[in-house]
Amino acid sequence: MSDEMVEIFHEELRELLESLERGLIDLQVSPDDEGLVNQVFRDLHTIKGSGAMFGFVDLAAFIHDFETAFDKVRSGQVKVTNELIKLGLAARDEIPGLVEGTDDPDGVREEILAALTAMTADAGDAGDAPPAPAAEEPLDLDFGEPLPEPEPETAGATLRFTLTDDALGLGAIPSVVLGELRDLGGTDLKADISRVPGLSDLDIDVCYVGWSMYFPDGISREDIDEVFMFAEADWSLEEDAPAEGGFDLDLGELAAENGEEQGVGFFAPEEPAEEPVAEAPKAAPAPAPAPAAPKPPAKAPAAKPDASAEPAASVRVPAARLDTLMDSVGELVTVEARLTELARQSRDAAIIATAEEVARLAARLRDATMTMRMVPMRTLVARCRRLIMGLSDDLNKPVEFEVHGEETELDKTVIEKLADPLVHILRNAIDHGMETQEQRETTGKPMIGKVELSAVHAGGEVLIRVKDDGRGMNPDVIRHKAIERGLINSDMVLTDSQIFMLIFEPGFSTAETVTELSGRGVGMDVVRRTIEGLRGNIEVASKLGEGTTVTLRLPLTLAIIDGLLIEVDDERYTLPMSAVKEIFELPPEKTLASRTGDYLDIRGHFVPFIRLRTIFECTGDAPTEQNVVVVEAGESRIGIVVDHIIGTNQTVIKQVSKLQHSARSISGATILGDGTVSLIIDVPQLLAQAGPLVDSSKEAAA
Amino acid sequence: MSKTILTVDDSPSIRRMVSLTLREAGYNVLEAVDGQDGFAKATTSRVDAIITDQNMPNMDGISMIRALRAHPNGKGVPIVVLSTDSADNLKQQARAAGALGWMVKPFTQDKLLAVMKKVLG
Repeated sequence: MSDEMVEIFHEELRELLESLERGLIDLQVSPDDEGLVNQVFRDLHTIKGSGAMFGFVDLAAFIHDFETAFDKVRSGQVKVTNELIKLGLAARDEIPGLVEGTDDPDGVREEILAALTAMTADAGDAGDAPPAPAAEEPLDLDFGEPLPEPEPETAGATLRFTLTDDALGLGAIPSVVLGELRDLGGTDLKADISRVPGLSDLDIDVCYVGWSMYFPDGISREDIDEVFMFAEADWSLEEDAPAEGGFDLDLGELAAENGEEQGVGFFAPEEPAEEPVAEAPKAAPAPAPAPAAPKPPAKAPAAKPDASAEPAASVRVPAARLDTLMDSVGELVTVEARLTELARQSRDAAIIATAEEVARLAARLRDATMTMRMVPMRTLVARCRRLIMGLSDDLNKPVEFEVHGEETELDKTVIEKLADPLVHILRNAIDHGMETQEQRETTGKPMIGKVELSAVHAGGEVLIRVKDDGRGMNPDVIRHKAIERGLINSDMVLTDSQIFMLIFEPGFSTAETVTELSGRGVGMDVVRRTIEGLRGNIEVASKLGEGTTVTLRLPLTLAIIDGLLIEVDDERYTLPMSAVKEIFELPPEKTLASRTGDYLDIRGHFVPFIRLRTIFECTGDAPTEQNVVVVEAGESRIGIVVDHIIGTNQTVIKQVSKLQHSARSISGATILGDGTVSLIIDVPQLLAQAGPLVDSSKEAAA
Repeated sequence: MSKTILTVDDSPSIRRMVSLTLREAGYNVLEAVDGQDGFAKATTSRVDAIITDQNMPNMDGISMIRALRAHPNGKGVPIVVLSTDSADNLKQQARAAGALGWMVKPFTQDKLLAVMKKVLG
């Protein structure tokens, strides 16, 4: 077993566990979904199968009981209950330990299995059925072992055999059989062609020829059986001096025995009459209710196509390779920009055409690479659901969790880094945000609280919202706390939304007592830092008594954006194309800077604008004709006055160093085709700087 | 010319183990991720033998065998069913569908090679 195989197994196990967890959690939401039950069952089944293959015998045995319980769900004997799901999840959590071989000193695993068995045993089979038929599962058999040799056959024997009519159709190869028999000492091979019909009746798929072979030293039944393992035949053995009656072997019995013992076998001919009595309970077709026999897991439902539960056919690629690909695409995009620039300078039509082709392909390659990295939110949602289930239980605050936009896709890296902040926010929503049941009752709210998680695409961003209908935040309390902790001065004038943002300051915690769940000091400041590290931002809205909404605004991807190249005072800057809505010429009457009245009338809406020349403190004179780029971030729109529009380009974002961190309106830099650097303007930050203007814009637009 | 074996399994680890083992022994190996994929590969490529799992998404092993046996390119190809189940019921179903033999998981690499040798000579 090579390391590579083991690595693949671990990878597969991780995915199966994730799928299993998701399945169990989804099952709680829709307990009657047959597709989900089948999915859970199949995940278990595959874990068991692969686990056993890779030598995790304990794991396989553990899963077997787990699987048996869910087989009863599948067959409809047992209903899905919250308890069952909880046990299922608990059992699922034991699997990594079983694989790593950790001990289970407290017997937790046994307990879980016992509980699962108990929960599923009383249903359906009236208690008299034996629990898991573990003996059915030969887990450690080895084909390589030499077969036990029965009493030696000393007398010579003649073997006569005919392959069954369908043997050729099934792929049996007569020459292989004859070769094996020869190796066992067979001689004097004779063909029996008596069954071969006339040409008109001949079916080319049937082997009509029979053979006989003589074995001077005899041959054992087991050897014969093994020869015919994959070439079904009717055969008989005739000894030279039959000492104890005939050897009319029962093929069916041999097949069954042999198969059971070795885990390999051929199929017994379908001759029910020959079924030995001892095999009857197992082999009986038993259409009648036979509750004691657990249904074999491979029943029909597995074959049912179930689009919702089935993952699309896919190729697994290590994330590191995708990163390498992404890096290369990034470089390609930069080089492509250079090529386009050079082509333009060359004024050679052929080169320009080629450069355009390269640009088109590079864009397509970039998009394809990005898509490869996109992962739906769903992967995160399972974790969230589970967290909420656990929290609402532990805190005795019943909560309904609603999710919208599970299919919304985000860059893999973003998803991975998003998990912790999101968990933290949800935890806060329940731990701090939700009132206790009693409090809710007295304020006349529904007893069951509600937490909503939604994810939507908005331009080049994804908005992720966590909304609760809890007690909301009290700005006075937060303000007080912030003053107490020295985060703000007592005479500072702050709006409510500015006050709410204080909860993201390091060292801030409104929890009256530090609970085990949240408020461990590493609070919301870490959340904000993580989100900002992803070039996203965070907003909080809250209404006392009605609830809190936290909105995370995240870029779709981290590496490459479409940019609009603009020029201000001979410096070139890049605006993310996703933020750009419209481009205008600045009307002549607005060209002069004024303290007030910097508004544009765009189709009846007043949109404020700012001048980059002013913001970047440029000294020279503005050109007579300037442009306005209308950008959007969140719900705000603003016009940005620039000297010139140069064009669009694909921009590989290079992070600026920490030294430039104070330049908040710059989110990064990019290298242009001619090798110069262009700074990327951070639109939300720019809007924040122009804060008063933007705030008033809403009123102006209304 | 070395023989080509198609391994059909939704578990990548099992698929990989089967294919590495067989490749080391000199066989060509094709991989398919479920019954549908297996059917498509078996009917469009030259395949000397098929090893298939039973419980798979989209199309299970037995359905695939049935479909293959009804297809002109799928007749006469030896098919061995791999399964964690040793239930006779399943074996009979597989047999009726047109499987040549079966093999219970877990198996060792040696066992797999021995079976393939028996099937293909």
